[in-house]
Amino acid sequence: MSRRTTILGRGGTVLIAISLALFLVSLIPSYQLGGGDGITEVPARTFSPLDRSPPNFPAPLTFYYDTILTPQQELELQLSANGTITAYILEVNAYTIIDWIREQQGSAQDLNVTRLEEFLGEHPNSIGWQQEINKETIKHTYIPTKITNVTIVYSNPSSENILVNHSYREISSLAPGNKVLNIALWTTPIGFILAIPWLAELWKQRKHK
Amino acid sequence: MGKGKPFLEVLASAVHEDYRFPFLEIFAFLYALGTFVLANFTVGMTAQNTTNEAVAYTVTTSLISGSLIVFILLILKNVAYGLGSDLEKGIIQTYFSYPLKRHGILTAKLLSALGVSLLLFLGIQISALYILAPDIVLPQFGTVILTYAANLSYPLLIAAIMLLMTLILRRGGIGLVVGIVLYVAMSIISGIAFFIAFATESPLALQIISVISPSLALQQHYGGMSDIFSSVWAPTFSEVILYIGASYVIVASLFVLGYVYFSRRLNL
Repeated sequence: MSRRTTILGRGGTVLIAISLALFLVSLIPSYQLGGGDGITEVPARTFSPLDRSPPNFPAPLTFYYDTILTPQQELELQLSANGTITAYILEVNAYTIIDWIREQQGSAQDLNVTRLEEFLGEHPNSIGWQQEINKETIKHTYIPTKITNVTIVYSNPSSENILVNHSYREISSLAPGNKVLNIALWTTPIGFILAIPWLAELWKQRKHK
Repeated sequence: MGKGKPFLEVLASAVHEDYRFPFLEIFAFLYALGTFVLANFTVGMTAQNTTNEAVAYTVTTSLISGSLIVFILLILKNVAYGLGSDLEKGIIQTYFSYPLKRHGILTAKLLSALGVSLLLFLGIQISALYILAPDIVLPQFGTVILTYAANLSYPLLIAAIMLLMTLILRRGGIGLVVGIVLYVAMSIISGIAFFIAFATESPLALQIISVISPSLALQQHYGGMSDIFSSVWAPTFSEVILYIGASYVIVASLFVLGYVYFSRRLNL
């Protein structure tokens, strides 16, 4: 048996072994860390982080959604709105945006859409995902590629107040299932292609003996 | 016969012996599974990890911990058991008849025993890190490499000691036992060193351990242990580099001793 066939064959069987491990990892179930459902009202020409205040929360106070996610956690998001808004997942704390605007403007809490645009212009890397929602329901799963703060922000440039329904789930898993499964699905055939000539030779030799 | 040919012959034979089908595949499976199953990124979320380097360090360490034991098992098997049985069965004696210098034979054996396992270990680990957290790995690649260098120093020291013992005793059994004992002993000794350092408020015990196991110095540099221990000893980055350098000098010296013994003193 040629040395090249052996090296390629063993490389192939190693790839198959790694793929098997990745398949196994993708099969290990994930579990829910947290989540919530609710409605955020976004006044005309303003932006608002996802508001998760309970129904009877005192009016001037808000309880914005922000969390820290790792690459082993994902955020499953379902949003619907009664108008046109832009939803963002930003890799910053909600109060980082508000404090930045306060510093720039030297004024009290200003949630004008242009202030958000200024913030995003200054911090383009903070945008993890963005999507326009036009009276429809959208679903998105966000998986960070680093340990990061995460907040969800709605921007309403229209002249009407818009209600946004949200449902989010924070899921924890060993590894991003789809990503790992895709790699396993690619490496398995490559492994077999490399290994088959070597395995065939091995089989022939055994039979001959 | 060209000069490279006998070396390749010995290397191929050593690889064939060390990684008989399906040993290599089983270890690759265990590396991959251990890396993903035992990875814990939540450790990178603690308040102590204020810098990007510290996050990269904690994330990399969490990935290493699971697979390092598999790596150590593989080098224990290859160096002590593999080389030991080659000495006992007279295979090394056969290699001596090849038109190849003795140090060439040992290089081929070590490339197979350590090189291939190291390649597999680092290949799977760094790929897994890239799959899971590319935005941590790529900007902090230097920290990732430094973490691997610090963590691999002690296993390589064990390998060098096992190599010497196997060559001197000409059997692998005792070397294998000593290797396992040394690996277990280090965690006990580290625990004692921490206690002594804390009790005496002197970092001397930790500094001595760091010379042979620099991962301890790196851990202290990034504040891996609690603030109480960090107050006793928080080495600077250049000190950590010095400890890593010193540990590799010791490892290299032991391997050189092994080469000298194999080339000049080993009479079969």
